[in-house]
Amino acid sequence: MYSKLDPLLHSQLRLAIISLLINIGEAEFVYIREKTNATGGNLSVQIDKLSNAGYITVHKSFKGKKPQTLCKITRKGIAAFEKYVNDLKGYIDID
Amino acid sequence: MKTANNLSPKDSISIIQEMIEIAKGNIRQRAYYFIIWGYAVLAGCLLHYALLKLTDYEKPYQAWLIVLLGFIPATIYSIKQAKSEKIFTHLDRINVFLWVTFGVSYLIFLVYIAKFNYQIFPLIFLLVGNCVFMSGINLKFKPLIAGGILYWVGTIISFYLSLEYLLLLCFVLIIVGYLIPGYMLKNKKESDV
Repeated sequence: MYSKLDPLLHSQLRLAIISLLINIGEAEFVYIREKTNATGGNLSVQIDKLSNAGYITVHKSFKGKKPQTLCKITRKGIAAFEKYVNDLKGYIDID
Repeated sequence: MKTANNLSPKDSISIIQEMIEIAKGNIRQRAYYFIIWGYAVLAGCLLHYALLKLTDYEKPYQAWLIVLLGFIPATIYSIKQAKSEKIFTHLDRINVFLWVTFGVSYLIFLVYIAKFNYQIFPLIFLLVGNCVFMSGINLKFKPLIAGGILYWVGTIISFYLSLEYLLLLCFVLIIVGYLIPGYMLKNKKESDV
């Protein structure tokens, strides 16, 4: 239906993740889960898809004794988001 | 959860907007730093004035050392924040480095205070004005922008005042241009910031 829109970003959760990371650059998995109200399993799947596309990088480490998963937007991800927003304008009346 | 097939462009826009609002959420917490340092400077200002007017102490300017006490609550608060926050936004980064530039500039002025003939009040007012103004721009918060402008006006006035009146001016500026905007920021609803 919206053929111009990047199918990878044209999904509620993946778009929410990228929009969040566009603003903050990088964030922990737990933070993204809290802010998007997603389940851990679903979020993992969507993060994997974004990561496989090269839109984000995922870095796993330990903060003290707790495991930490840090997601960071890439230049490719930023470019894809900008293109997505520009393409969106084609569907709505925005100058 | 909507799928790609039934997600309309308007849905997409509202998701993006919602996430932008969420990412702005922790800005208000920065207000505590304005309040902590505001009171620290206020204490220094009042003590200097009191020593100058009420005692014969030879080095009343040493009263400003009391400002260093501000590092205690500021450090405790920032450690607490670092533990609880899972993100550090671009805006946070800009804000932190804005005040780092203030700190570095202030130290340079302090080290070379003799070269400025010990008249660094206008320079400090100017530095504070710049940082408060830019903080206001970053946070899109008008009371801070007004506070910054007030400091610039104070800078000009300060060239015409004696030390005694400079301290009174400093007292007024820190309350009106710094502490009050800080409290207004603290009391602002997250969604309005």
